[in-house]
Amino acid sequence: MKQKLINFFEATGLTWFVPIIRLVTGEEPKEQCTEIFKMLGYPAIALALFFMTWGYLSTKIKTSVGALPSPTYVWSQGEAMWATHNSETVRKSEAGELEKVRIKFNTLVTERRTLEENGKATEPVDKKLDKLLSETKEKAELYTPLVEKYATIKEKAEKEKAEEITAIREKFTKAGKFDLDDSGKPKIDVDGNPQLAEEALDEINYKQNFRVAVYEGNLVRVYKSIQGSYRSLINKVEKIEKYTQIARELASVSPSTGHDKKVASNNRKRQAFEKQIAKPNDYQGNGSIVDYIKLSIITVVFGFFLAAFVAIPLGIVCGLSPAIMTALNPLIQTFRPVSPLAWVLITIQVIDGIFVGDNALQGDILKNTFLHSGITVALCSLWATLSNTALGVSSVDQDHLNVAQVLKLNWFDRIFKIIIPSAIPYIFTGLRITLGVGWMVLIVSEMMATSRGLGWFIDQEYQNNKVESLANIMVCIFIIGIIGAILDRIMFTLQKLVSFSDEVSA
Amino acid sequence: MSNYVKEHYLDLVNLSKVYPTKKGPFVVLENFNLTVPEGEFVCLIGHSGCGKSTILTMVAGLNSISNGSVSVAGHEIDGPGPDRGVVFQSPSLLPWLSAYDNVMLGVSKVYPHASKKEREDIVKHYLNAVGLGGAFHKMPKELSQGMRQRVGIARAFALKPKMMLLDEPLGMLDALTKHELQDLIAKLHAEHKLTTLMVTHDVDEALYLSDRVVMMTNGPKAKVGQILLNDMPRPRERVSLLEYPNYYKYREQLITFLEEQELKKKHTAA
Repeated sequence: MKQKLINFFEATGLTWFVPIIRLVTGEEPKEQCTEIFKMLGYPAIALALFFMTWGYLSTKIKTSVGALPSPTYVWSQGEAMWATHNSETVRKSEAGELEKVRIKFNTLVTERRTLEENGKATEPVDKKLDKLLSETKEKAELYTPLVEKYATIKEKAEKEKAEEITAIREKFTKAGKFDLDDSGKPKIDVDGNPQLAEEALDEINYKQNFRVAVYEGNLVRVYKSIQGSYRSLINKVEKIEKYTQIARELASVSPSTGHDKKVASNNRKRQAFEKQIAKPNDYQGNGSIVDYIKLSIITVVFGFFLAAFVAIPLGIVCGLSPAIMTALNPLIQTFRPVSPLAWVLITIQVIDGIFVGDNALQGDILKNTFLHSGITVALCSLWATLSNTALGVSSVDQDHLNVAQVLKLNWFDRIFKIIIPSAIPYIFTGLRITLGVGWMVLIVSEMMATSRGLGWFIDQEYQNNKVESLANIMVCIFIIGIIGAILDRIMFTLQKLVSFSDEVSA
Repeated sequence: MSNYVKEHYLDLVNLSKVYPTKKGPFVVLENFNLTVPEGEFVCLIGHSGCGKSTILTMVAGLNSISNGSVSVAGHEIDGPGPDRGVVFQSPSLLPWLSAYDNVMLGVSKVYPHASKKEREDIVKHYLNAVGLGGAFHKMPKELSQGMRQRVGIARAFALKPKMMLLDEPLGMLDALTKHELQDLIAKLHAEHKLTTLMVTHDVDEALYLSDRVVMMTNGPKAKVGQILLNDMPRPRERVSLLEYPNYYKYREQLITFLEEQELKKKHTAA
């Protein structure tokens, strides 16, 4: 068990876990502690220095939108993003529930229509509808206490924040830190009070920027809007019930002048509402950081496989035939250094030319924009795999080729049993670089292609032009970096698994 | 098989190897003649660069023949083939295949009509014979140098070759492992009586294994210097060998020859 864990961490390159495991199992505690300090202590010191420098700089550097976000502020924005993700999840599930109720109503109403047309009794369906209607009414009212509950929390948090800001204001007022005019008197603000000095305003702004009770605040909006939708649904069903009732009354009285007209007009109204509840409501989510991350990862994996799919066979062909390599080399050398910014524009035009108008891709994930960014990733990242595969195939160990000769292997076996297997470590080295480049290129291609991943989100935030957005971008930078590192770890592990020796550069 | 073929089982006739260089042709080997009767174990010994490995790779078909001919069992060779088992200095196992699969690769090539079970038995038999009974499914990187070379030997023998070509197969091993593998080679030779050509520069190894030791002069244009008929009785044992009256005489003859060549080399260099 212990050895297995150690092997696992060594295989994945997470070697800093190894001394911890040894320590836990009581193997030479002193030595392990030194080891842990070396592996965790040094990075911890570096991280601490980094955050201190960042924290210091954030008080000194002014950006065009305000002070540079501090580490704590960026962290709080990260939490706010997570809160938004959670409230979006609630919205999604609530919207799903609502849709189920609508479908139930619609089924019953349609069922009743059919029964009526066939001249059958409708009482059981009427009863069911009544029951469902009263249940739904109850359900809709359940949101009121929820809204109140979360609104109270939100208000309380807002109040506390306001108090803290007032406290800061008072502190500076007491200390007499005012913005002075030429004569040395404090300038007067629009609200009639003396204007505080810049450092005071900075501190107030800093406090002001922190968002409080984000989750609760979002839930208040979510529940209110869901309640509204329930009420509107109930309203429609009640209208249908009303017109159904009228239709029945009209059917029971003896025909008189204008009777037919009344019946027809009543029926039209009833049908109009029935149509409304028959229409499916697409849940239009705002998306959350988790959705962006998911799409980005799916896109990069798509681009990665596309690159591998093109580059590996081409690389093998180039490696096998010096003539083809010489032929393709100028093209490879020309296209390799091209920026993703250039590729993405061409990709957009080409893809939009193929999937145009009604043919535009409308899938949950498979949209035109997804292809734009995915193909750009592939175009920019395939070169590393291509050249590494070609190198691996062309530099097969002479000993291995001798084996093939002695065994008189045919062309097919030579390639598939000797050459390709022996090139696999090279191929995986290439794939690791490809994934790294792909992830780097992805962000900019998503920006340009407006594919709703992390790159798109960063661009949106940039357009918002607020300190808050700057902090959100910084959160994204950390997310991008961490995911990139994890992807590289995965490739490192694969690379190590397929390598014939134990030396793989971390 | 005719007696002639038996007597000339491996026949090198006027074998030459010329490498074209910018300064004109470089003659490694010129008119080299050697005849090995069936079942004989011949060691080629000489200083490095004398072309002994060139001869071996030419017999294996891995190196083109500039002039002359090589015939094995009465047929002139044309390129490499599984009828001549080769053990290289480095084990040159395919690192992505297990010991078992490395041997199986050749076996399934040489016995295309055998059933799966038969092939498996062949592979297992030879791996057992080289003492790797417990390491069938180990990857080369998990095996020691000596064990890898054992796989290399098993792979060569499993092809049921007409003859064996050993190119300094024990050159990279430590003394103890070397002894073990020398014993293994001696044992396999005793069992299979395969005609064997072995390149070495280890005098004791040559004496322990061979029936004849062919001493080569320095290159370029290397030729056969002396031939030592090693008539020490088989089966040989390392310890009793030392007591054999001619052992030291043979050893001296070999060493003296090599020393002379060494001196000549220095002389030419000076």
